[in-house]
Amino acid sequence: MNCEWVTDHIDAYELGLLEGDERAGLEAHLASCQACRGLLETVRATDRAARAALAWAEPSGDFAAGVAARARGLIRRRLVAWAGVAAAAVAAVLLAALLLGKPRREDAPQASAPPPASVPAAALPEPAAGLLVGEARDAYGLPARGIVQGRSYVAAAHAVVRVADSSVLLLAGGSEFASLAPDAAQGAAMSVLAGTVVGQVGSRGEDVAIELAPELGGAIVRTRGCEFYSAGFPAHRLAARLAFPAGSLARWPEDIRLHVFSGKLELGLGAQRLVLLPGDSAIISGGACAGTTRSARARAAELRAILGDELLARRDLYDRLCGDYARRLVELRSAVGRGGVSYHQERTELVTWLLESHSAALERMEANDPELAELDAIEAELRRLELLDEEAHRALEGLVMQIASAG
Amino acid sequence: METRPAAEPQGASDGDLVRQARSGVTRAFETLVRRYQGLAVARAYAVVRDRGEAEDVAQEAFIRAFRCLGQLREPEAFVPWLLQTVVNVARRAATRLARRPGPLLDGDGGRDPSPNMEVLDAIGALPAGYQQVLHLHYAQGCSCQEIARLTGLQVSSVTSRLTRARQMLRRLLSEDRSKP
Repeated sequence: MNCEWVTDHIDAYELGLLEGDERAGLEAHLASCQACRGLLETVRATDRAARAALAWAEPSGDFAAGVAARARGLIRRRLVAWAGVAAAAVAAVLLAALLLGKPRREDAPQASAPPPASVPAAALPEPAAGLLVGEARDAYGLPARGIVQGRSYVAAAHAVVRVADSSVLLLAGGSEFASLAPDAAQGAAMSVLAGTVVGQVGSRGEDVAIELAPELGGAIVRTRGCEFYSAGFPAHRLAARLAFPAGSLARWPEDIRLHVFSGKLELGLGAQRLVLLPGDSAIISGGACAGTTRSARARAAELRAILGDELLARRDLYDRLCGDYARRLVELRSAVGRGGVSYHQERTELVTWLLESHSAALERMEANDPELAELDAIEAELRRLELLDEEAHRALEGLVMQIASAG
Repeated sequence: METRPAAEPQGASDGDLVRQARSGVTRAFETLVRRYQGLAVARAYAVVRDRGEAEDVAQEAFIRAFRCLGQLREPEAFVPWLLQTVVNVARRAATRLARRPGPLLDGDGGRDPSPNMEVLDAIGALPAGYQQVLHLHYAQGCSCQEIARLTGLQVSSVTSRLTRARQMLRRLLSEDRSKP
């Protein structure tokens, strides 16, 4: 044990992290080394100085209470503001609620607000905190909770609460919310009592709700009678970044991956209108979509018909040959690099020529028939969509299993 | 309005306290304030050089943090985020103070015992994560295990961070003292 070792471990020693031989060895070294004893004194002096400086900075006892009082005042003002906004601006009937998390027991739906008829009240399992709770009229018979007017709920995780026919609030986890007394003219309203409104899906245009489901590693997207699973979508980022401008997903920073299990979804993406039918998937990147599973398959078939089997077969052959020549070239160049004989050199030149001539032929073919490039792009998209189909089905099975086990 | 039975705030991790505070549980936020108020004042003092002003800055920064808790993507990263808020508020306060008529403030004007400024400056120059573990260790008297529980870090990360922070602090102080 030398001075360098002691210098590296003196903090661990002072923090009580050295034991046994190491501790004994360090202490033995200190006993015999004046320089290291000096270092230990410096360490202890710095400790004392840092402790004293931070103790001086510690404010008096009522500092935290004062901050907390101001925070409570903020919540009260927010409550008043939200109640006013909600009552004045949010219209229509409180639809079947989407709720993440478990309402407080005393706030559970009661006889005055029975669950929708499609799901008998007795059959409703008590969901675990944070478990996704399905929409009442879900085609899959998922358990449901109605939001009872005048009661308050806490979203155990991110939540989407539909407050009107085409108005949806996204709430951060832990937000407390309640339905207010309905306005005679405008129907039910929502109030966020405390917490954070992450975003609002606008009241015009598409009727889309995004339900964040961190436990699924993604998000459930719902609209009337439809359910979509956006697999692999980091839900917290969805919540953190987006405010969902009404009728537009164009500035969404990530790929949105949708799969429709039932019903029909129509989305406007600028000038593009996207229609997803049951079994369809779509990937929206930067607000644009190359097509749904269905439309991509149809376009691929159309392009194949235009191009003809003979051309496609020839292109496939050239494509395959180019791949083979390229692999062979790599092997030959590697042999030449290792000091191969002139035979390899000659073969390399021949294969290079073959590769170049076949590549040129392929390029000519693609220049003459631009549909080939489009077909390539569509088929690549189809492969992504088919993977998404599989993921979505696996995710749905997982979701059903979770809900079944919770029940 | 506190609606969910919360874990005892005093022992809860920063991340849990942030999540509770987001739901309006002000008691959880108060615990966070108590835990880091000294660090916030120290950081503010390093900028404004006035004890009373530093407390005002720290209070304002906590309130801003409370308002914007929903924007904090990683609740466990509360302290670095808070310290950045403190610095932002303190810089504005320092600008305002500099415009005041009269002599510029130096030290804390004799209202409190003078702190060891060079130590506070050195602590303030460390990365925020290092400041956090140093504060919990020195001011709150936490062990490495306790710091790990409060911050959500692994114990091994805490020990290496704490060791490194202490070494950096000594180096900064020795550099400071060697300046002419």
